[in-house]
Amino acid sequence: MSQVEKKVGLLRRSSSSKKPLKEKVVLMYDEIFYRYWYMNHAVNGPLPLQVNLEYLESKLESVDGEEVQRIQDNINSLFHHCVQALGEEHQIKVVNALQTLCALFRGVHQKNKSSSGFDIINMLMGFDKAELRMKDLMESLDSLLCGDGSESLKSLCLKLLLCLVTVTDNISQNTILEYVMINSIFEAILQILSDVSSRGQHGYDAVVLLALLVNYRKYESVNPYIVKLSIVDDEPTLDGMGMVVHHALTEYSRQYKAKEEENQGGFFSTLTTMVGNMFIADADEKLSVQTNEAILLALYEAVHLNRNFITVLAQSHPEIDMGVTSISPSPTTPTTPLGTSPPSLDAMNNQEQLTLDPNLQTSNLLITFLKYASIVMQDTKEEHRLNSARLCLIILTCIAEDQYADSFLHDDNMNFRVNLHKMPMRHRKKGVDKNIPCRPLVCAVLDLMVEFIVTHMMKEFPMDLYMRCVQIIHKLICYQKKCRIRLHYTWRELWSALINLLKFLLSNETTLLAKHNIFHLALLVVNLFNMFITYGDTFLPTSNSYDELYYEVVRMHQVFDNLYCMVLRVSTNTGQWKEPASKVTHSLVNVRAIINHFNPKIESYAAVNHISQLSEEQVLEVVRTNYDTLTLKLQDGLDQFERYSEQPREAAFFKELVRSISLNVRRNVSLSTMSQDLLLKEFSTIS
Amino acid sequence: MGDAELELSPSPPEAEPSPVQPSPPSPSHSPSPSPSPSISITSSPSLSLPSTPSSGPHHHGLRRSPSPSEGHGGSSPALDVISEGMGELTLVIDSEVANRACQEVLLKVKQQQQGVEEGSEVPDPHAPLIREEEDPSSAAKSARRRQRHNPSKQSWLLRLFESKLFDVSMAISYLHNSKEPGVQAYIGNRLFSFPHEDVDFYLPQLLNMYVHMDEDVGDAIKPYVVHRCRQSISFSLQCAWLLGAYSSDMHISTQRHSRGTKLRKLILSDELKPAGARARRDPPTLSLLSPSKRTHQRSKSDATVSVSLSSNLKRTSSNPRVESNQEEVRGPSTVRLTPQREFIKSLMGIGKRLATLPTKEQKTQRLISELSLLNHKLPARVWLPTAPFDHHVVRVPHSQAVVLNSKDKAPYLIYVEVLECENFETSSVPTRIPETRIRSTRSVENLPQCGMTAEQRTASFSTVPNYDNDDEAWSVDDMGELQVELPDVHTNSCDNISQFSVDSITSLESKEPVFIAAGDIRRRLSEQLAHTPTTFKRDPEDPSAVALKEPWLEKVRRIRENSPYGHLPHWRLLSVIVKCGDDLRQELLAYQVLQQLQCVWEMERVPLWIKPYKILVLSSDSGMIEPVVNAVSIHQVKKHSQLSLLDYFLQEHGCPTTEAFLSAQRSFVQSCAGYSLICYLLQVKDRHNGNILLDAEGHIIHIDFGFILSSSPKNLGFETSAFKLTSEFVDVMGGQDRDMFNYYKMLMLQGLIAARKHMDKVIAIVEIMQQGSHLPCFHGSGTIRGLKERFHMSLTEEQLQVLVEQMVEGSMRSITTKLYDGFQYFTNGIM
Repeated sequence: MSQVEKKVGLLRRSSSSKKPLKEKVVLMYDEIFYRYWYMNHAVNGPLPLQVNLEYLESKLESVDGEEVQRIQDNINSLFHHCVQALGEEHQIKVVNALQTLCALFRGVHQKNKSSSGFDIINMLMGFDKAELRMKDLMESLDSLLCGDGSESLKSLCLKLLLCLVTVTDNISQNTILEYVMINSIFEAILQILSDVSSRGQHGYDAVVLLALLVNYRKYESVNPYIVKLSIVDDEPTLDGMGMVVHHALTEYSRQYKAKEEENQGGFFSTLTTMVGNMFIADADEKLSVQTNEAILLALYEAVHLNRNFITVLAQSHPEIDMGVTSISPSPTTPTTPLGTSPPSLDAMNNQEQLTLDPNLQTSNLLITFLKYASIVMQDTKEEHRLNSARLCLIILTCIAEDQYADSFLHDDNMNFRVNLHKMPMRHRKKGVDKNIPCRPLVCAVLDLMVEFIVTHMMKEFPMDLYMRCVQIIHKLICYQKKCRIRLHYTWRELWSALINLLKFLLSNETTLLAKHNIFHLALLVVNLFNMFITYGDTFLPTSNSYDELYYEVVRMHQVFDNLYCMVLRVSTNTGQWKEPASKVTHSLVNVRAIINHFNPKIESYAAVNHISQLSEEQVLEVVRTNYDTLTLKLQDGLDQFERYSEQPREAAFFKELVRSISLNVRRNVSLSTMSQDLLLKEFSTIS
Repeated sequence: MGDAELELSPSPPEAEPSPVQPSPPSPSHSPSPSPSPSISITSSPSLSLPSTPSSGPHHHGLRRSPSPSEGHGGSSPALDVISEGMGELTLVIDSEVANRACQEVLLKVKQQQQGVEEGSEVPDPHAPLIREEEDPSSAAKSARRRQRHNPSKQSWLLRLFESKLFDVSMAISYLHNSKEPGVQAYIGNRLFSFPHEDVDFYLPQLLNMYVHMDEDVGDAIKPYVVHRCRQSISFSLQCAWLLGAYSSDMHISTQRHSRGTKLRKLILSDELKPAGARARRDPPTLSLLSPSKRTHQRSKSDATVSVSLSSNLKRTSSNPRVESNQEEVRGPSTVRLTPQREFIKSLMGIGKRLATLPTKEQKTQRLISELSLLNHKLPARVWLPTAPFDHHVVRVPHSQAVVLNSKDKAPYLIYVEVLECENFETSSVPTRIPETRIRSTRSVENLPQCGMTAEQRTASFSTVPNYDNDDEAWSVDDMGELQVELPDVHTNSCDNISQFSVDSITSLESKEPVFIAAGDIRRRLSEQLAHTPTTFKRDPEDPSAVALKEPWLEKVRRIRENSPYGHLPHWRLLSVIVKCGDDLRQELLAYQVLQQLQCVWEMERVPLWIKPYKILVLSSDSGMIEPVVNAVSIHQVKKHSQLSLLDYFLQEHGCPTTEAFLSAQRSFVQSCAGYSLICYLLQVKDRHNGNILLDAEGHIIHIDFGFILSSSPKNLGFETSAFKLTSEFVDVMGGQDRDMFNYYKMLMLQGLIAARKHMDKVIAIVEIMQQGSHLPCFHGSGTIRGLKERFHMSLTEEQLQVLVEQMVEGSMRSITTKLYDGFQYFTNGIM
């Protein structure tokens, strides 16, 4: 028996403490398996009874091979009946039918893990009827989701769909989804997202469901959900989707903050948690709040597939921000395994509490995302977080490539304070972030990139993330160059971060070369400098900043000298790195020209004036007076970049990601979390 | 009953500008029994030919009127056409009706003159039509009353009314001053014959009279207003807003049942539809079946979409299915006025919510986010009433909006993208283009303009023989765009093109290396930085300064480039200041006076320069203002540039001998003289530097007419001088007793003489608005008398010259101006 089973059982027990008696429904299930019970009861309209899911599921699993064949007809009938019951007036019947269907899907899959998708379909519905049954099922679900029925019912429908989508580990092997592709429920999902109240209650499930459906046989066939998602242009709907993501990410940041504050209880508490962690080991994933890849995947798909979604990123929702910040850390979700449990969305309704806090900031999805990314990217050791960080950077890549996104990132009139989370480090004081100036959003993106570059030079070098990071910077600078945008940013921080990165690559050459092509990264970094050197006139904010660039290059000339020696050495040897290394050699031509030009000038200046150590101002002076005798080589293609494409490069990553999300969702989707008592109560009053 | 006699007095336009001219409407003035020579100038043949129309446009209207009805098939009698005719026809026919009504009244008067008692005997086939315009009994009453008067006086009045010189201004003035129902009814009818724009100017006066004056005046005005409301949505709303605003001064108990409130309700209930509305409403229902479903949905939905604006951010009706349901329930009946009302309402709502936020930064951010939500509901059948042309609002470039400097309220400035159209009522609403669409429309050619032109760039790379400029201009984005058309390049991944282009470039240029001088790069950088026009530094506490400093054309270009609608030929950019919590009725009054004086000065060829800016009164505490483009306040100029005004002029326009400086200086002097007179005549107070703008050409523009006539800020008795003339201003003029300074004084004298000549027009505007008003500018009893006195009708031109000298002297010496600036500096931080 699987882990899922156990979990369901566990939850069940906690919700109703009484010992599971042989209920009437259980007897009925027994009948399904051992007699042709169904035939007798079909006329009376069965299934008015409470569903005992765990029993049904376990029963399905316990039957062995031969029996399966025997009961297949019964299961088919039961399935058929459930689908029919979805159209019933009595909502309790609908609820039971939904739950039974879910149990059937799960049970049959659990039982037949190894068998092909077709066998499962046959087992559930029968081949000849499958198409019809699934069509009916999807249509019923669609009308339930779109109708004005009970909210719990809608929620149940979504749970059933999530359950169906995640029954297999690899979503693409879930053959039943073919029918979900044919009978699209895309419109129903959109409708849920466009309506404020339904979005609040079901938005999270809807978004996760959509993200998963989009990933069904993404690369192999034409997925109608991809096509449809890419052409949605209804703002309220896209906005609703953005809002759901926004809330989930905000909730995460809030929990993280709460945790962080909790942990700042002093030395003793950190010590105890350390000790505690040693014992608990991987039982509880550290102290960090579990990241939410499902919602991030949804954000990615929206940004990647839908052009119109880009506008949503910059869309701020004043009333909601007010609400979110005005409620204190809510007691609504005290449970720690946050995985896919929907974050509380009651904040939406709290807009009356307008606080007049001058520090309060209007936020938008992009800011929230950047904050989230800043948390996730802090620690990439663990695989989940590494994946999250990678996905964050991929999303940022897509954003940086989008011209509209770039235009609002650089919009001088849209200034925000973005409090990015920074890793506490020994040499850095914390808490200075209170006085962040209001700047265009692109500054926050650059800050985040710089922050990442500075903090991840470690043994387990996240090469892939570094590449993405530098590429994002490059894309942003290309945009600035193209549109002549002079961003008032302290470029110096970026330059020194990049130089330090080169330094790190050099000092760990041998260990890194064993795993990575460090020349590619070095080339990107040097080309960033080339961008500044040759095209600085088009995007630097002041003429001084150009001087400072030279100052920085000259000051750190040793790094460049060493790099040159290294790449020269590698490129003269024969080997796999010969070509990439020689590319770096060529790219260094201007940097070396600058160093070779100014160094003697500075030395002679020092000699003439009898100064041993030149001040920055003096060096800048030398730089300013000696530009005219320096000739640079114009390098080509500096402002060209490779556009992001998911296939084929990222396909494997996304496959793995979707698999882990599926597992996570499956673990957390529990029909039984919706207490049956509660459901019954509701429906007894309704009907 | 001396009222009628008063009308006799010479009407201003014909009057010779004699130094001692009696002011006609003054009740204290005794009537001159003998006809003044000026009146005899008006040669009007109409007396002898009663059927001849009295004025040019009339003529035209009458002659044209039969032709449309003939062209219409000719079968239906004229009467039918009038009641059921199409929208366009009603205009013509109504003026005809009006004409006849006018003639009828005139006829009556004439008959009375001839001693014929039975004026009502005149056969009139159209009598039932104008019943609502003129009660026969009251006409008879007035006829009887009139009879008692000297018939010769009546004839003069009549001749005046029929003369070509009888314009809207006089009509309004007589409507206000005459107590004769007959005369009032006549003028009420005559309104139909004036061009719409002329009457529109006096709409505040008309409606204020309607609200606050007696029954007869109201009855005379109502038909015209109702008629115009039927024709135009914008007129309807304008009326409704003004009626609401002017009714607000009434006591709350009477207000509810007042005529003004009733008429307002009538208009807003949208029962005043054009006569042909029924016929016109049919096509939409037909188009339901038409294949162009998309456009139909759009045009139909905009109304409901904007309905949801009211519940502003809740956006309940956002989902399409719900929306269409609402649509059917509501039907098209209330749709006429709703979109615009909701649009205005949501703009006001934003203003109110902004006022609750403590810092400018938060206000700005909030404003931007609220506007971006508003954008979702656009385009719709909404428009900016301050614009001079018909259009539909398609987008609000939200990131460009700024919060203006104000202590406790939150006025804000928004830019609005509109598409000009033939007629906003009938033209179809533009279809929505998603925000992100700019990427496809934004052409590559525009990009080099951002900094330097393509030629400049190539030229600057003088040492670069083979630099291919095109490659740079072809952005990667466009490469991506292009690749769709290119048949199978390498594979189907997106990257190939950019990769491909990189390869091509490298292969092309690797043959000969290109060298550039580092010095060139550095030089270009500093040159480009120097060449960018002077901008103010961004200051979170003063967000509007930067936005206002940017040259208007530059801003238009920039916004157009970034707009998904920018490529459309009818695209225009408008701007408007939304004021919430401020009473703009005084501003409106000041605007009217300024406009009138501007006309007068233009007519008299006095080169005074003033800039009346349009005001839209929405209620007694909200409204919109048309911003003055290319202008920043002198306070902002001084604060951001840290220069004296003269030095700033030198910085912006060049040294004192250059053409640019001289023309800026001339503009400055002409505008100074204009506004000095305005300030004196209207007693404009609160003249600190935050309320005086300086535009890019050197003109000053006074804004904020919150304290005029009888009111002054806090009644501190500050600002006793006639107008504000600081030594800085004099410095810009070149100093005392220099040519430009004398020119300034000369202009003022000429301006005052010209204004004096047309005093009545100005007085009429102000006097009518005093009716029933509680505005602070009318506080006390001597407001109008004081205003009249300031025109100094009794002085000779020599005496006037002395007066101007004295005022200029006084203002320059005035310590109170300095004191007031100091006071503002300490209390409001205004320099």
